[in-house]
Amino acid sequence: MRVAIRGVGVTSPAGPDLDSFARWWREGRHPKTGPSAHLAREAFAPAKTVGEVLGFRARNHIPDRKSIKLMFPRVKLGIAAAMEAWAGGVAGVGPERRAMYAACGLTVDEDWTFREAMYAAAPEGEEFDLARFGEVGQGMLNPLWLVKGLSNNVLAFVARFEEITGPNDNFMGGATGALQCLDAAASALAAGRADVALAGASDSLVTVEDSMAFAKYGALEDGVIPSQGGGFVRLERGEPGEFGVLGVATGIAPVGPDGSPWRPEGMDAALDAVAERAWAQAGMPRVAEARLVGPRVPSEGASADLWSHLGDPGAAAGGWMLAAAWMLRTEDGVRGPIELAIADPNGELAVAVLGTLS
Amino acid sequence: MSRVVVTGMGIACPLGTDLETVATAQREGRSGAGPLSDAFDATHFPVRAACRVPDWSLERLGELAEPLAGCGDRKAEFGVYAAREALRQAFGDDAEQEIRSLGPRAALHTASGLVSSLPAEGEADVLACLRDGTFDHAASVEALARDNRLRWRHYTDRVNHLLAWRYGFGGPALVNHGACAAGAVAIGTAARWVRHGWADVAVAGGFESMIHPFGVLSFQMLGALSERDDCPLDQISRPFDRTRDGFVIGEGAGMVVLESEERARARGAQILGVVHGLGTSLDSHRTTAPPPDGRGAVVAMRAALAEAGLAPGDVDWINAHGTGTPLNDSAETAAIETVFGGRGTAPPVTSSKSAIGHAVAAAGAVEAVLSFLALRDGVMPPTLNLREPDPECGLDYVADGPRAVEMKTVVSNSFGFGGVNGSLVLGRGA
Repeated sequence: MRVAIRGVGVTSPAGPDLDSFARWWREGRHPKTGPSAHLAREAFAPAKTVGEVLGFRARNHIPDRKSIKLMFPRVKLGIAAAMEAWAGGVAGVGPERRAMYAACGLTVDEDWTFREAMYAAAPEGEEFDLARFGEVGQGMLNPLWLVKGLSNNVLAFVARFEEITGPNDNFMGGATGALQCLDAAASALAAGRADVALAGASDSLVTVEDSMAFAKYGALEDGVIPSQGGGFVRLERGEPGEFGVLGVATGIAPVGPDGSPWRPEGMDAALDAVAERAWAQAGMPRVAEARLVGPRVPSEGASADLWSHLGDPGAAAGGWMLAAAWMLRTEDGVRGPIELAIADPNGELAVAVLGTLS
Repeated sequence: MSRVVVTGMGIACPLGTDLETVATAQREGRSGAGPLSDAFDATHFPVRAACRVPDWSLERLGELAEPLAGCGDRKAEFGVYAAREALRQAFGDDAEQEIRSLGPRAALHTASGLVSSLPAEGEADVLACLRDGTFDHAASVEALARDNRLRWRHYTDRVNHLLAWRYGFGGPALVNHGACAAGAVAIGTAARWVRHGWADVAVAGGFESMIHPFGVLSFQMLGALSERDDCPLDQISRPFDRTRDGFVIGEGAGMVVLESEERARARGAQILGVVHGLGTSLDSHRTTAPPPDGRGAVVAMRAALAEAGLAPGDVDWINAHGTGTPLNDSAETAAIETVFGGRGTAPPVTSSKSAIGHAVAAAGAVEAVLSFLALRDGVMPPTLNLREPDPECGLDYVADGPRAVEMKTVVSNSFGFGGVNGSLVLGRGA
């Protein structure tokens, strides 16, 4: 069955929607910003810049304003992107035939009340003390801490706003999350379980904890720009000549027992093996007219622009790549197959082949 | 299209850590509840009970213990253990050779939650780097350099990575974060991969432990846990009872090895069960409460039956989500009545959580393994502690003790925060 991409939504440092992204794509704007006002500048040293979604006002994108207080930034950015992709394309499709597949980064980290409660239980220079946590830390926590931190919040809120009650899933696959979702959503359509499906991811690495994670790798010294945003596509049954999904495959590279190095040995070969499966699914030789690769690996052209201009948005990377592929198609006139390849440092691999449906 | 069968199972749950011990406890209707204070100093917590995996030690992982040593990550330990046991049962000593030879045709689909456990020893160094909203980058690098695992342990894809490294999985490898439906959805999705020929072998299931102060606290603050102090600990979890007031936190892991029936038979494997179908849905309602009519659960159960090619009348037993919270149990009952009819028409219903508590993201996977064991043994396990029937819960909940009855098919339900629902239709093995 042909699976067409009929809608795209994106939030990125280029702006809060696809138009902003397209403007950046055309004009090559350089939207890097300084660290957010609510985070100490020291948090991101030695990085000099972080990528924030400028001009993003949640109330302009999210219909239930009362719920906004339950949403961390990566959730809001994901909802905005998903709803933009969804807009105007589901007339006549019943709720049970609407599907959604989402990936989102770790969200609990963003609750400052949790962090303060931890500090209260670990006075300077001492180990964490449970009794002290019970005495003073508990009372400092936001009672909705768990609810705010649910990793499926993007899925849950968009389902409520858009009355989506059909097949769904929520993944955590690092940078490959959006393509894992693309795979699952295309499968749901192909199997006849749904008539329309959203697929994508969102994340925000503009947090102190994520800066720590980068610190582990020395990545900030290497020029990685912590960033944030989301990217979703709306998939439907397509017609010949439309832009759509030709093949998707995912895999894993063994990263060893002690945690991941920045680039596990054998990653490139493992990614090639996944690409072979994706192209086999597409039923064509591996000849891409354009190729986009994920962040944190040497790249050139559009990929290099993405990650050097907009930064590394963690799990949202694949979502931005889907939006970039849309730009290659609609702005640059690419008609041949486009390969999207992501190798997350943790070992997850994903390759998608997009192009003209035959 | 080929049937997808189970050829290996592994479990770590409050009833035990090997299949036969767990099966016996389930048949006899035993509870896995104990004092929460066995897990940590719970002086400041109103919650009294927890269902913990008994006699657990990291050493049980053998050669796989070292990578997890010092992480304090019980959920990952359970996950690796259950997967190893499942692979052993399926392939014996040849598990690594079998999986490595399959490479990209061997897949992983696990499920877990996100809430990190207590800071590990030495992690206070990292916390200190963040104190008061400032960040000491140099100190952070130094602290992380001392132990690479300090950050890594929070990532739930770690079990997949360890299994890929140890056994050579190279195919699709996903981690489902679908809250309390995650484990069931992981198994059902992996079964689809096998059914459609995208993988020859898949290891699927879930792992979870939130029996730590942050995990307990998070549910406690939402009012989801029972704080009952008027009965013995093993009587606190009472799904479908009129006096139910919340769930008892549990933990554990359940993993299964899936392959096509043709492949399993060709290599002479024992068939332990069949995964007939999965149905998923979204409530499109509220984050922490189902709609009273259980309409999302209705969609999930009907979708699972449709994928299985079965009618409601083909189902012999339902292993309910049955948390013991007031809202879930009445909504789930309404959903079952909509799909299967009322008492006398709907099949008997058990809540495994009356015995093992709520293992959150692992619940659906653990309960799938329990369901396969019940089908094998021909014994419907009871719903414990159901003494005062709730007028809103009018089905047959197997409240009168274990019931010996031949069964072929069970629906296993798992519903989660965010309004995510997953139902599995499972069949008895050969």
